[in-house]
Amino acid sequence: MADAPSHRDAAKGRLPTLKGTLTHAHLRDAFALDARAASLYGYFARIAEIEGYPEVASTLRELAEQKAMFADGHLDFLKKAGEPLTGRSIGETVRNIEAAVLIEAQDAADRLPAHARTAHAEGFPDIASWFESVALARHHHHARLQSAKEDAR
Amino acid sequence: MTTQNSGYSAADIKVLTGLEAVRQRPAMYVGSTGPSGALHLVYELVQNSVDEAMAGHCSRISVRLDGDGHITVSDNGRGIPVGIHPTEGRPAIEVVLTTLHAGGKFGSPSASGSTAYGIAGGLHGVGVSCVNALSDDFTVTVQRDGSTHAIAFHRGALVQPLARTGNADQTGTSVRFRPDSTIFEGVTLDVRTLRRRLQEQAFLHPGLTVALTDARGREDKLETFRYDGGIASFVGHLVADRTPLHPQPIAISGEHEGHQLEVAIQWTTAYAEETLAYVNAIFTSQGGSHVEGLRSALTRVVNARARTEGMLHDDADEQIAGYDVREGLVAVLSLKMHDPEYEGQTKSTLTSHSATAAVEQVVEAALERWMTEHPTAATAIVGKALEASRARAAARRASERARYQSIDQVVSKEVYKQQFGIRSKNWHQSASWITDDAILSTQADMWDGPDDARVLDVCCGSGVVGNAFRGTVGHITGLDLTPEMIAMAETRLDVVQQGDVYDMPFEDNQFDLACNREVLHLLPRPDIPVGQIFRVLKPGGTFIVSQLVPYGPEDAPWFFRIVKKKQPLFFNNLMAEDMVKLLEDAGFVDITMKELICWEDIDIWIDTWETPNLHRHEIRQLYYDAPAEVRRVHPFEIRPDGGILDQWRWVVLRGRKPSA
Repeated sequence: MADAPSHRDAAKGRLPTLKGTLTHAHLRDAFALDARAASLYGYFARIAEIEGYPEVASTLRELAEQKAMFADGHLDFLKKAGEPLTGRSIGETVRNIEAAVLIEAQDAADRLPAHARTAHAEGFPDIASWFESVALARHHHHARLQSAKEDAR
Repeated sequence: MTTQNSGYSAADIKVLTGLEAVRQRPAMYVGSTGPSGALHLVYELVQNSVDEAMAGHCSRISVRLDGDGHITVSDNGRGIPVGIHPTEGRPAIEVVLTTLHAGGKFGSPSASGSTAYGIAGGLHGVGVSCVNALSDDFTVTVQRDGSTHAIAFHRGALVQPLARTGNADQTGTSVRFRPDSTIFEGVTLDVRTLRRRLQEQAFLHPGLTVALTDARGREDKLETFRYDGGIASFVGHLVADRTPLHPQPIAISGEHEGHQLEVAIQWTTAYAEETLAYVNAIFTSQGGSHVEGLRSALTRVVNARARTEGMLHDDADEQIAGYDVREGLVAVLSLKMHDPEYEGQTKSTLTSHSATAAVEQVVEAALERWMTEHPTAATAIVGKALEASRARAAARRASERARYQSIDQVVSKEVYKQQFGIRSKNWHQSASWITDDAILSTQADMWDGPDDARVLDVCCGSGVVGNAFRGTVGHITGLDLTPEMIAMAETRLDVVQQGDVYDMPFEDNQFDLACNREVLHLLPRPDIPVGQIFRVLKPGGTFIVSQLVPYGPEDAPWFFRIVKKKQPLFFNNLMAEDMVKLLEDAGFVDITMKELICWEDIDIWIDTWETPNLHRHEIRQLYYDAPAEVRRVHPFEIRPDGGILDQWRWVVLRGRKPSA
């Protein structure tokens, strides 16, 4: 399906490239939406379980599972054009790990510490501390992925 | 003997294929090859005896533990049949002990009305043959029809065919076995858990006597359980160390479409909920549909009562959530039903839908009636739920207010007073870590100053931290915010002053030693009180502070979520390195740090008003679902009953204010 040529490209006899197209943007959006929903529904399910709605919880868990699968499906198409967080092309483990190293480095090095500073400035010391805690773990993840990169070589 | 054995071996081959599967994958049948698996073997046999009791044929069950690892489970039931099995052509007992899924409980009760058991809990795992397969010595003695018979096995293989060994003037079955040490390697039996389990069975079956003899030591220890009061006395037993809201447990029994139900409930002034649920006398540790039925009945009745009594704010459409209704609840539920359905092999969760409706209807009707008959108790129960619900909202507001006010570093004392006032007093007196000797003595040991020193215990709480220095110092002053804590601290310290850590009511250079434990993480700006402590210390004075910290980057975010759910005023997830930096930045020098660990039952820690019931459940869930990265660095244990023991990491730091 991904390789279905558009009318114009078909006329020229070649396959269109996904990178930079509207469809590429739509796939990235769809990935963001479904990956978030999967996480969100898992969270909702745990609360439903505690509040005593086991049926609701299992519905939510099943939906979360499906959403996670949808997200995988979006990635299937995004491999070549680039995964949504760094834009790097992925597929085989060596490339995947390289992308993952970049993702962790980005968050730990810039984004999260900056978020923590903003939270402090805006008067949310607990949220700042949360960002800092996550940043610490991210540093650690970065190191683990670095060594995984060695293993994958 | 040898020829006889070879004569049996042909028939044994077929049987052994079944039991060999058990030996190959023991964990699949008994849960694990660790301590809980070994316990499971005992339960399996006890459960068979309990089934005899439920069928009305047994009044006494005894368990005996011997020093050589043998365990004996005996009852005075009917005795396992010893006659020749009509289709197998072997003694029925041999078939039962060597065949998976053989026994008297498989017949359909409706077909002929003549099965040996009505409702039975047994078939726990796969029955007694499983225990046989996993034992290196397994001997059964049966007393039946005036005779005593015996049969013996080794790892599921017959070594002593059924033989009459004497006369008998009573009936019963006695199984003496030893878990196979090649499977349960180095496992010792958890006697405490076994004891609790046996006591539970005595509670669940009024009139049944359950005895436990521990003959492993130099003297035999015999304990006998018998409770004619049934599950109401079970609740009474559970409530014993709490304060009940109403004097007697509410005892409910009833029947609904083939479900026999007994429930006993009692609300207490505690915060945690304890609900134990059983289906056909088997403990369902993760609850399930029967517990859901109980919960929704309680929520509905308490809300209805609150509304008719005019206790809810109608204009705000106020409702009491289920987890607030269950705050401080102690409940035991025993359901008997045919063909219960469970999730998974270990029967930890009941999934039969019919149970929800049955429990809900019986409990709702009975509780409503009880509340009408006991209006004072009913008001206390509803009032407590309402208080829980409103306290939760207040706690949320408190943390929000603290947050906004911290922008300009004005922190409302009221917020902290609200949090650490009267409701935290009980907890302050009971939490074991607060008086943990290791932490207190580590702090005290770090003090090497003169014995006439003046000490300041900052945020002294009940005063135990300052008091730990007693004998090595001269005079101890406490500082705290709430009148409740000050009153408590005054029993331990020389003088206690009411005041604020952001602006301490003391002149500069007053104290030789300042101590503080577990406070800095609760303040939006921990650097301010550390600076204040530096100010009020004399030059050369010592600051000793301890703090609960995560193990490392792996568990830091997880730990953050747990503590934040426990304590809405948690603002700083301080790491050990952050503590050092806080002291350095304030000007302290010669900083040393000690680390110590302390096992803590988290129930003590989260059983407090500041932790809403929902959060308590979420905290437990965080432990149950802890990511592998967290588990690798942060030790904790989940007990079979779902309880959690956490290994806390404390750091104790000492810094010195430079001499002038």
